Amino acid sequence: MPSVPIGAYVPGDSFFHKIHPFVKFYWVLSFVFFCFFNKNPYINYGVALIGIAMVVLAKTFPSYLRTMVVFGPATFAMIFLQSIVPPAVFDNPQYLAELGPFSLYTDSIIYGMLFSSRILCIVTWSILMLMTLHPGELSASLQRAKVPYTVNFMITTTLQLIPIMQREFSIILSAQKSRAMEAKGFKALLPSIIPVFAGAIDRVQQLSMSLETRAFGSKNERTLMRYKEFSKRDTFLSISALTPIILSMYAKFNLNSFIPSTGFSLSPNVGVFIVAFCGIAFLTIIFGAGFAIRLFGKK
Amino acid sequence: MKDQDTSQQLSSATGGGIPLTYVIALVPVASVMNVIGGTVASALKLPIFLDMIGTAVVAMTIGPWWGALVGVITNVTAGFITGPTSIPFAACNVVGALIWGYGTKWGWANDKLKFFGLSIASGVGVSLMAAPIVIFVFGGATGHASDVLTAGLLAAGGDMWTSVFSSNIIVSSADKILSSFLALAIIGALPTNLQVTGPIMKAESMGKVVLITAGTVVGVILTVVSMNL
Repeated sequence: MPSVPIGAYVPGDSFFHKIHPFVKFYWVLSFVFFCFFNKNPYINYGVALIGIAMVVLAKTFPSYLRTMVVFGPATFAMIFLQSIVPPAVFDNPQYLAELGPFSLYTDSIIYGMLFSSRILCIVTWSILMLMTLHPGELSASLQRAKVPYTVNFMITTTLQLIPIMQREFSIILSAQKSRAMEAKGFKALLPSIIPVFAGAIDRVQQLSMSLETRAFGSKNERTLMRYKEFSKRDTFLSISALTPIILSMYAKFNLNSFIPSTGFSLSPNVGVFIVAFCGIAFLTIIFGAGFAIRLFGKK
Repeated sequence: MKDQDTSQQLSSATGGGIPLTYVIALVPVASVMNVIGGTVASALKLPIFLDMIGTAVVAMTIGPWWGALVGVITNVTAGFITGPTSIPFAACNVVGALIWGYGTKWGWANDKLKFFGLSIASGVGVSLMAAPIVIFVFGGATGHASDVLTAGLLAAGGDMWTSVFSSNIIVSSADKILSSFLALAIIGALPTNLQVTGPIMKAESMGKVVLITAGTVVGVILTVVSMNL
């Protein structure tokens, strides 16, 4: 039986696989902080690009791409939606061009780019850290971080059950399709969802009995099968995770959060291209993904 | 003796009568139901979320705060798979759980009409919570099909807040009605001693539910359009 992947973990031996889970958590937190305080989208895009390079170095690029399929439409939609809306949050918006019925403003496009770059940067770095984090280490780290054992158990059990039940759903859907059931729309909802959930309820009873027989709730200290010791390198990396926070604070008070002194500028052609491209890309992904899967799936 | 004390404490924590191990097993499975609901919605190309069915089941049976825990665990776990962007939406799951849970406690889950009202209330509550998150964290878009609706409303001259809330409430009302009635079907398969929050009605046939949902969505769309005009 093939092994079921748990969470986002991709096995490997890279630098990121070796560092302590706490260090990964500190860096993700630090990037979230940095991205929310930095007001220059180009810097966020740059940090995201560095993240993508690291993803390639950690040999996790295919899994990264699969995850980004979810966020692709969102990053395009953020720019498109912010660009077509009248710029209510700016005092003197800088008019750029017309695109069909929409008046485009530089500030609106940059604002949309800021949201999209923020999500791209945060998601890229956090996915990198998660893809190199073994679920066993996650559970052990939560225990070391004094997360209550019950909550820790619930989180790790959920992480383990998700891929198993996703596989069950895909088997059930394939079985229903082989019986000529239409596999889309509300008609297909009950025949595909009820067997999965019925299986889930059975699982609750089995799991509950297993917990009873294995003395769940015992107050004794649990041993850890997999735990990384916190090395000197991890201490250094943890302290260096403060760098993005310090940088963003410095920029907030001295560099106007990285906003250029002359403001952002875009040429009308570039602005129109960005908005049109994002609009088309967003609508194509939303409406065209199913068509593309049908088209290329057959080949 | 000590074990017996612990066991009594545990069963009182779950409203009495239910072993805590059952609840501890139900919470992660309900969280997985939420995640699988989302997978089903996207696999069947449904324009809804279906990511709160597990939350509804636990909130209506064991209690609102256990439902809220399912919501938090769902989004935190999703955060461990797809990154921290899903974590803010835990607040929506908590709001939904509290409405379903307290609604059941106050007897709204024991009558068809009241249960329909409870479903709508959870849809509105969740939308009120989701709109600020979508705007402040995501700039108005999350990559869901409902973004097309938001774009359409913006193109029609609506402002960001109205457009995001309107598109969200249209999708959310349909989503919560379906989720509530699917939760009823699941609750029917659970042991009856698990229903400690309040009396819960029997599940309805799905054909009726789809009709009710369609009618509600049309009603909400007409309301939104008339408010935007």
